[in-house]
Amino acid sequence: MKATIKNEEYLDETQSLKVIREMIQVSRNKLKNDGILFIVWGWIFFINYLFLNYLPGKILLSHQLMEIIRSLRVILPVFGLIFTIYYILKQRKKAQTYIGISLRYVWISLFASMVLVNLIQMNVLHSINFELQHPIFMVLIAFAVTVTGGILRYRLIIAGGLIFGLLALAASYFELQTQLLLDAIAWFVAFVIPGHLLYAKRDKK
Amino acid sequence: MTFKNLDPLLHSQVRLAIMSVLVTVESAEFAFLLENMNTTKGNLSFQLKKLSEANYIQIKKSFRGNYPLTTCKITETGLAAYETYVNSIDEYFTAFKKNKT
Repeated sequence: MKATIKNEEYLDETQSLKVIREMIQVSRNKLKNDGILFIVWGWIFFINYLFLNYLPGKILLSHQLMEIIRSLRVILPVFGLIFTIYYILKQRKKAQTYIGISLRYVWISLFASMVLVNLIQMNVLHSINFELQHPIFMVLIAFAVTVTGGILRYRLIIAGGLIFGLLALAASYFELQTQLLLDAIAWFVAFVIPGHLLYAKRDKK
Repeated sequence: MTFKNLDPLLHSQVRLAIMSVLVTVESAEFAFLLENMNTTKGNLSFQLKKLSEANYIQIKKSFRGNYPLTTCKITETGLAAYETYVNSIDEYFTAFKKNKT
């Protein structure tokens, strides 16, 4: 499509339609979600729940190894946070989409809701009951994942969100140790799998 | 068969392309439009100014670091004009199909 100030190109009917189609395709292709953040956070929480929380509770580990595990519990999410900030700044799209804005609100609200749940627990129970906190957090995450899937119109993420919700309900029947295992499964199903599939389908150009 | 009462402001390749991108996003930077329009900087600026004068788009000038940043956003007027334009094309093709059968 070439046009100059002096020589404006006017269109016929078919050309108009072609321009509209091409430009809509441009936005669609260039502003796709590549699933990177789903992959990063999915693996971080899967490893965190399964290898750094669930298994150390089942196996007797040396003091030194436990120290490393305790450090990793903090290091991994911090790494995730740093990577997320770097990724958002690096990938800063030159166009703001309604999808991008909606997703930002969903995930910021999720974080705020988690803080509020803890504050409410502190006010009502005067302590944080982790057996109650885990299923409630899982429900909040399930809600955010399902809404994200709906916004992105990606059924696998929606399905992941629904499974996350069901696992949240299941978790409420078990003690904390088993809840951690269910949490790990939920993160794998709702984040790791759809994230990798989204990444495989990304626009490689 | 030709278009009747079509908005002359939208009936140009670059301006229609700009509006078609802006209708799908909340806002777009000048660089993003330039990347996808295959036109010159000067022409794009000129066409953006035309659309802005008609209140079809809003142009916001700011800075990112030390670099100037131009961001464009479609307005309600622009959205209505675009909708009318697309409906007219649709009417044309419907009429065309009817004439053919």
